[in-house]
Formats: sequence, structure tokens, C-alpha cells
Amino acid sequence: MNLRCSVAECTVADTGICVQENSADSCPNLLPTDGAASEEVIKLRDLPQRHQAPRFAGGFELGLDSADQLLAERYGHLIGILGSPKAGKTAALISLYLLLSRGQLKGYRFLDSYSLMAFEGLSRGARRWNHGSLPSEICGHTILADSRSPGFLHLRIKDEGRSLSRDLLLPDLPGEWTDMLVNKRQVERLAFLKRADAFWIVFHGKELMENRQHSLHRFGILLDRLQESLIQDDSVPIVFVLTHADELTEPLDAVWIAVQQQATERKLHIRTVAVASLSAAQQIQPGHGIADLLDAAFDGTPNRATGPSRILGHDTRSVLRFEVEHE
Amino acid sequence: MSNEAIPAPAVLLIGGSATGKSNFLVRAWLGLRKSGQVKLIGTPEDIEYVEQGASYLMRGQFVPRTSRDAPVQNFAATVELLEGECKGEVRQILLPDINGELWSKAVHTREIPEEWHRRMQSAHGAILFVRLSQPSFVEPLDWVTARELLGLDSSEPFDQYPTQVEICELLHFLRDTMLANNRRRKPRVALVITAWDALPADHGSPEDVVRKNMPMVSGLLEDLKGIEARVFGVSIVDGDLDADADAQRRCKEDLSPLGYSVITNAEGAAEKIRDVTLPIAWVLSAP
Repeated sequence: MNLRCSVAECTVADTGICVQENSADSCPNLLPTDGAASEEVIKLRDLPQRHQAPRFAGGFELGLDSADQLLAERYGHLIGILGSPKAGKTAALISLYLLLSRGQLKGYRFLDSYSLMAFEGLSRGARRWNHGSLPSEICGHTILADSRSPGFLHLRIKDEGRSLSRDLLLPDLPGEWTDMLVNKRQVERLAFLKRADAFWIVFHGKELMENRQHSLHRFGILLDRLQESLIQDDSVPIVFVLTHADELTEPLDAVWIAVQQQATERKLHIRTVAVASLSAAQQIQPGHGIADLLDAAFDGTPNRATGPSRILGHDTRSVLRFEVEHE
Repeated sequence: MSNEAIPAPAVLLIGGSATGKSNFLVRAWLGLRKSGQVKLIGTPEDIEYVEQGASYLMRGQFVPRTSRDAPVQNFAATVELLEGECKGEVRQILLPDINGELWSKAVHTREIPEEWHRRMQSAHGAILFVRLSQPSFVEPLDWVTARELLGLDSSEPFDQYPTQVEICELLHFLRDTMLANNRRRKPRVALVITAWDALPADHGSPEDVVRKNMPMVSGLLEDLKGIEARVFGVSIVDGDLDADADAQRRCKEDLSPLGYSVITNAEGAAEKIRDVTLPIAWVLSAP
């Protein structure tokens, strides 16, 4: 059967699944096709609605609403992960997941995740699975979703040092969002980061060392942008993350000093961590530094919420909602 | 008014292919005829399927793997609980056996046939099967593979999630489905590690084994709310009938003293109990 739809993003012609979840007998967007095919559409509309198998929820990235719902139920740590394309943001997330899945993340253990399918997909560098067709949730996110809407990976972990169970919301954002924040102050789609408990600002180690002055200059501008628009409390932990540490041969002291100067000038708290997310070097284990990223993110000042959900007041959530509604 | 009988709530047997569901069911049928923590009341009406399986075990052979196309086999029985808080209570149970592909597919597609969804909703609980050996056990992704896949920017489809990921998702499905159905009892899920006799020495308790081999499942079991979960080890005949001539001989002679369940006791150690039906009894004993 040839179904066609007037909605450009709709994949019904290829997958048989309507992106707006309308049934074929009532969808107002279905287009008649020529000849026999259009008769088929008419016949289809006369037929009872196709029976759909029960579906299980979850498994993929959380949309903003779901993330907000989780935050309304219990406290969750939202980490703003920023960095240019190919800085190594996704690799760091994969590394975190692989360490947890193997019980090798020092000081932390896996407890749960609403995003297991998303993590597995990311870990395989694949956005396409199920033999080439995407599950509808993924279609919903990657095809349908407003390009300004972030997706959050969820992890629930045990922080063994502090004997706490923590929910992490990790937005896997396109690097272009960071570039556009720096270059053009495009801040609206990042407004949800006002709620961030910490920031990881990620730089590709080798590229930074080759272009140290300009990279650190841009880091400074990014900090300015954050302070101007997204950081509401200067005590929020910010982590300067240098990736591909296994490929670096030069000492990093000068970089660390420059970063601390930037922090001091702006009265910000910045920690520096070098990571080797997927290291192939013998002397550096893959996942090196990832536990430090979490330590740094949780290393809040005493007034920063680390306990139960009630610490996140209605005001904060309504700010988040307001921003979403008014983007 | 329909005369159609209302099916008894099931104890769902869930797990991927070759995890030992059918062999467990057949051995449990034989075990239920003896007095353990649960025993049969009367002889069930339809025992053809389990008796076919029994003929294999009593010849010293494992029950062959359930084919992909085989229809669901329902073993229905009435049992009495002989121990614990529910001692003396009688339960109608259904133990449906189907090829494990149904469950792997459910994880991949997030869909399940309506019939199975209804069974999940009304189930007493479930037994989740894991066998920690190839080909049924899929290890978590390793660094080398991840690097290669990412380096290739792969768009190759993959059809197997690591076993621990499938188990976590099945636990999510069970929780969400069983809890959606208002019920008096907190549903129970037994995670059964089959072929316990084949584990390497000094493996520790069932919980130790899960912690070491499936850290994500271990964490989820600790954190899971709404359902009660417990880990068991099971060996249905004390050995590998495919590879061990002694085990075959013992099984052929008399399998009734063979087979056991393993629990983690209060001291955290493995405790062997000569009763393969223990996971069923525990699931049925939800207070």
C-alpha cells in the first residue's frame, strides 16, 4: 500500500507509522495517491483502526517534559555538557556508561537508567538499529522534535563515597549549539541550563594544544556567555574537560593555570579534568578521568542541593517551564 | 454469558533463547510431584508437553530447545504452598513456555503481543532466566569494540543487546505492567541463574554472581521499587547432560535426588537446597 502524507517529516510512506500517531483512517494529513493507491487509502479509511500491539515506555532519551517530570518527583543532577563538535562530549558519555556497565567506575555504581536503548545505540555509533528501522520513540525525537529541544540521557547511580543515590540528566547536545552560543549568543534553546547543577565544558585535547591561545580565548567568551545568560549562581561547579588525554604528550600545567586565571577573573569555581574516554594507549586506561568528572560535578558548595527532591522548589521548576514555554 | 474459562494467573517464564526455561519447567513438573515448599494438588489435566520433556531427562538428555515456530505450551496446575507466610494457601497457576525470542524482540521493538501483555498484567509474578555461558549470554560492550564502532561511524544494525541490558529492560517492563494492574500482593520476580553447576569454582552466592557478571542488574535489583526481586541459582540435574557421561548415567538411573536451588542466605553465602521448585514457591508466596 502506498500512503503519502502532507507533513514533510512524516515517515508513513516508508515505515507505515504516522509521526503524529494518527491512525490511517482518521489522519487529516494523508494525501490521496494516484489510481489504485488512492482507492487503497479510501478503503483503509473504511476499515477499523489497525490494532496496535501494547508498547513499553522508556528506553530512549528523555524529552524536556519527561526530564522535568522526573525533577518534580525527585532531585536530579542536571549537567550542562557544552563543547564544539567533535570535542568528545558523546565519547565521554559512552565511556561513563561502559564503566558503569562493567562495574568499573571508581566510587559509583549503576542503579538504573531510563535511557538504556539510547546508551547502547550511542555506544555502537549507530543511530539506526532494529535492522535499519528506528523505533518510533527515536523517530519522534530525531525527526519530529523541535530542533531546539534537547534530549536527556538518564542514569541513576550510587555515589558510594557519600552513600547517596543520584539521578543524572545528561543532555547530549549538538556541538553546534555551543558554537552558536559563543558566536551569536543563541541562548534560547539552552535556557534549560539555568537549572544545571554543574557544567562540563569539553575541549578536544589535541586541538586545544595545537590552538591553545584561541581555544582558551573562546573558553573565556563561553564563560562570559554563561554568566550573562545561563548561570544564576556563580558557585555552580564548572569543569574544564580536556579529552583525548591519552594522545597528549606535552605538560598541561600552562593550560590549567590559564583556566584558573579565567575562573578567578570571573569569580567562578572551575575544576580541570583530563579524560581518556576510549583510550587505546597502554599506559592510560580507557575511562581515565571519568569518575573525576562526576566527583567535580557533585562537589557543590553547601547551599547546592544534593538531597531529596523537595530541595528543588517550585520556583526553579516554574522558571524551567517558563523558559520552555516562551522559547 | 460466556462459558470460556478464565485462565489462571501465570508465573511467567521469561528469558532469551537457550537459557533453560523448558528444562526448568519439565524438571519443576517432576519436582512439584514431590513435597518441597510447594506441591501439586491432583494431577494436572494436560501434561503431554511436560511428559515429552520428562522422557528426555529420564533418558539422560536435556529437553531440546523450543523452536521459534513452536506454539506456546501452557502447563496449568493447582498447587498448595507448604511453607512461609502463605502456608496452606492453594494457587491455580499457569506456566507458559515459549521460545525466548518473544522476549528479546519485546526489548528491541518495545512491543509485545496483546495476549502476552494481558498475561503480564495478571501474572502472579515471573521467573527471569539467565545462563552465564555462550551462546545465550552476551557480554557488555568492551572498549575495543566501542572504539572500532565509533571510529567507523557505524550504521550497521545490531540485533543483540548485552544480556544485562535485556534483563534490566524486562524488569522495567514487568514492573510497569504488573504495577499498572491494581493488586493486593506485591508482585515477585525471581531471577534464576541456570546451569549453576557449570559455574567456575569460588563463584560465591547468587547475588555475588550477578554482581560480578551483570553489575547493572545487580544495581537495578537493589533500587527497584514496586516489585520484590530475588536471585536464585538452579541446577536441574547436577551436571551437563551434553558433556558429562557420569551426569547422564546418574540422571538415567534416578533423577529424583538430583537438582537443587541456591539462595543467598542471611550471612551472604550460597546455600544449596535440594528443591528445584523453590523459585516457583517463592514467587507464589508473595504475602
